[in-house]
Amino acid sequence: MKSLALLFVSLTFALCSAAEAQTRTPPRPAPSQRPAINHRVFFSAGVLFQVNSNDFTDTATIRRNAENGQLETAYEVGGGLAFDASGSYLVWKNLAVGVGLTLFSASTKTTIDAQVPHPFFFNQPRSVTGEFDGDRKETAVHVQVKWLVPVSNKMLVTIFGGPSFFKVEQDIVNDFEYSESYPFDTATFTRAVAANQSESAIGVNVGGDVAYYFSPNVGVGGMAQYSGATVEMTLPSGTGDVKAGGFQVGGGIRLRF
Amino acid sequence: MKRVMAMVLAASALLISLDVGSAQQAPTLRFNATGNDLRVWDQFVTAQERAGALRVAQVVQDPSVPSRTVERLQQYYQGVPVWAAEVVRDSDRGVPVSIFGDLSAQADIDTQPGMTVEAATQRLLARGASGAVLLRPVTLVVLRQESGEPRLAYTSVVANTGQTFRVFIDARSGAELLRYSSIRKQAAIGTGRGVIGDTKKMSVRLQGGVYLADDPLRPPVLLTFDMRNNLIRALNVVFSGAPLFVSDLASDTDNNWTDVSAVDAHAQVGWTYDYYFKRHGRRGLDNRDRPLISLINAVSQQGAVTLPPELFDFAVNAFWCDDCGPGAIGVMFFGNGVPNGLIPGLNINPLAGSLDIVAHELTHGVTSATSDLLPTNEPGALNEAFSDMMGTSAEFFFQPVGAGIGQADYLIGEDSFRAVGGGLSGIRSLSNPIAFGDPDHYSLRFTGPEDDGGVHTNSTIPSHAFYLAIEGGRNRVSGITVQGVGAANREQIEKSFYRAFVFLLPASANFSTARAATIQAARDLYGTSSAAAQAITQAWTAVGVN
Repeated sequence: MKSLALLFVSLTFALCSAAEAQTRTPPRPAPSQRPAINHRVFFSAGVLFQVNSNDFTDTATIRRNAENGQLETAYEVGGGLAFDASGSYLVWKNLAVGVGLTLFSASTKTTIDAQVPHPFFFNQPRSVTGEFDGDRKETAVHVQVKWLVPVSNKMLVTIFGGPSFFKVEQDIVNDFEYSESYPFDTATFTRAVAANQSESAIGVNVGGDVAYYFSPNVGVGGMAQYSGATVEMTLPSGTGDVKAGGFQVGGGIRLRF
Repeated sequence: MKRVMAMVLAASALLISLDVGSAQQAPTLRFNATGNDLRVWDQFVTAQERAGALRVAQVVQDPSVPSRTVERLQQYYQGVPVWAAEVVRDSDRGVPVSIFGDLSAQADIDTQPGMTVEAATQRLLARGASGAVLLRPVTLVVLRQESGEPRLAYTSVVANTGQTFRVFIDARSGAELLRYSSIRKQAAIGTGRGVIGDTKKMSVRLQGGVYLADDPLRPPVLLTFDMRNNLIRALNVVFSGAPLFVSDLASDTDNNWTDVSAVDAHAQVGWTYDYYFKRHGRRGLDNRDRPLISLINAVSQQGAVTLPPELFDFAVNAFWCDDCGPGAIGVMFFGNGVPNGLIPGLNINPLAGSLDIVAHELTHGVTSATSDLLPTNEPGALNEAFSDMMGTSAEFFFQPVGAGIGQADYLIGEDSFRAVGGGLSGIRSLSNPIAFGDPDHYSLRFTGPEDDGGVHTNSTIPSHAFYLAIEGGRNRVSGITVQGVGAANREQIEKSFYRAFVFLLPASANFSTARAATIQAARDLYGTSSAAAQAITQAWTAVGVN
């Protein structure tokens, strides 16, 4: 999280420094030749691809047959498509403030690897393995400060950053069931006992957008952003950190008024 | 249904055992037919079966009484099962012995549900929390409510995190009618300290808040009864067939068992069953899961001090009696030993504490069900020897190899019979029989009448051959060296002797017959010139049996 904040601060400084350097660098272009920002309201909507995965694992001690065993769960939360939309308003010179929304959902494959104590003997656990297909949903609301850099009348570069409010819904495997029969030397996974859990956390978003307007108000754009957070979820072993979001690239429609 | 009612009323007029529920709206028909009324009730059940009001749900052969067949018949009303309305008919070779029933005598409801199975599925799922699943198919039933009013209901088992329960909903309104937990608490795994201080798991049953030494997980009935230091009662049970009750079972209130005899008898009888199942594919005493009944605590250690000599064996011995116990069910008996210091140089702890003793006694039951070797002279010695061989084999199957307490070795009973002051623990040795004064060669066999012709004494001649066939070595008397199969291949010798003693030997076999049978068994299993066949041949020759 610290590194993300640093990145955001660095980008802000870089922008300010660039603006300052621009003021010191002669010759200054004539105001009439410089692309102007003639719009105050900006919208974007599109599809992002979340590049990274947010796999996580948990190892818990379970009590079965008067002996401790182990339950390991490994969640594969891969990348995938996300819907992203934002709106912003120009408040001063090139500075705009806005709100964004990113919705991400994916199937999560959970691998269950358990050691189940034998009912008759100590230290003779049976290995039980299985899989559970669950879901992950992420809803991120971004508060964004944007710096708009018009490259031409048709092209606009935007750099943005700010805090993000994440809500993460994840199917968590809390327990499992298995079948067994005499002499109980083996056990077979039958099903996972899972529950959907929803937790929230504050994270950060930072990124850039390049838009090309083929008409005065409508254009297309591409963007890259990092928006992520770490939520605390209740896992069989106790509470654990689960990462959400990540690096996302994509594009979509751009509107300005 | 009207016919059912007519028959029910007719039957109820005839039989005293009929117990029609007293409430007007609760016309339940209960009957316990075990006497003269059996024939009438059998006719009633048969008629209902023909009419389709009773349908066979299950037929099982009673494992404890092999000639018995138990039928469970489910009641139906207009093709819909009436929940928990059943008749159980126990027959001996087709002749009814008892009939117990609990039926709905009047349903009179419309059996057309007001919702589809799909709709019912959603309603049932809604009874659980988010993510709930149904573990059983959704079934339409007639549910008898506590008021007696029958209701058409859908039912299934709903499972979600932390709970599993059966729930019934009204098949028209969807309202919940009844639910109860599907989690049965009867089976439980307890722990306890045994005679040598080790901790063992115990497969027990929870009933009425008390844990009972009744193993619900292994296939046979496996019960350990606590005679609570009442020797007279123990003798009545063993020799007069006095009945045993649930209240006689060894018990514990917190499932952390402290009675060392109960822990070891219950756990190690189970282990011995496991040994036979895993090593030899055998299902217990008779290979048909005959009940395994153990009796412990007939005499306390302190009580042994004042026992008359003729009863002292009930303190310091263990035995299997094939024809003993209620209904000649067969029982194993384990003495509790005597207080330390009573016998100079030897502490005798509860005999159930030795796995080889427990397996020895259970093996006598196996022998009774198979070769049934005569209990005297050479057949008797073979009988005892086979019990020692299997007792030792069970030790090597479950315990780490070593000479310490709770370790696998070729001593018999060393975990119960503890030498004090440097002597040798145990009562016999398969590796060095002479250490206990027992013969290690046929030329040294006991020929007197005592001990039923030396059945225990002379057992060490074949059991020493068993040892030599596994471990190899030189016989002290003959000087013949045996090339054993090695400890890693002990399974070959165990299986060869098991095959010979269980399948091949006649009841009156002598040592020479045992030699031929065990060699033949090894040839059958591993080939004529196999290492096992050669080792067994050499071993018998080394102990002087040809």
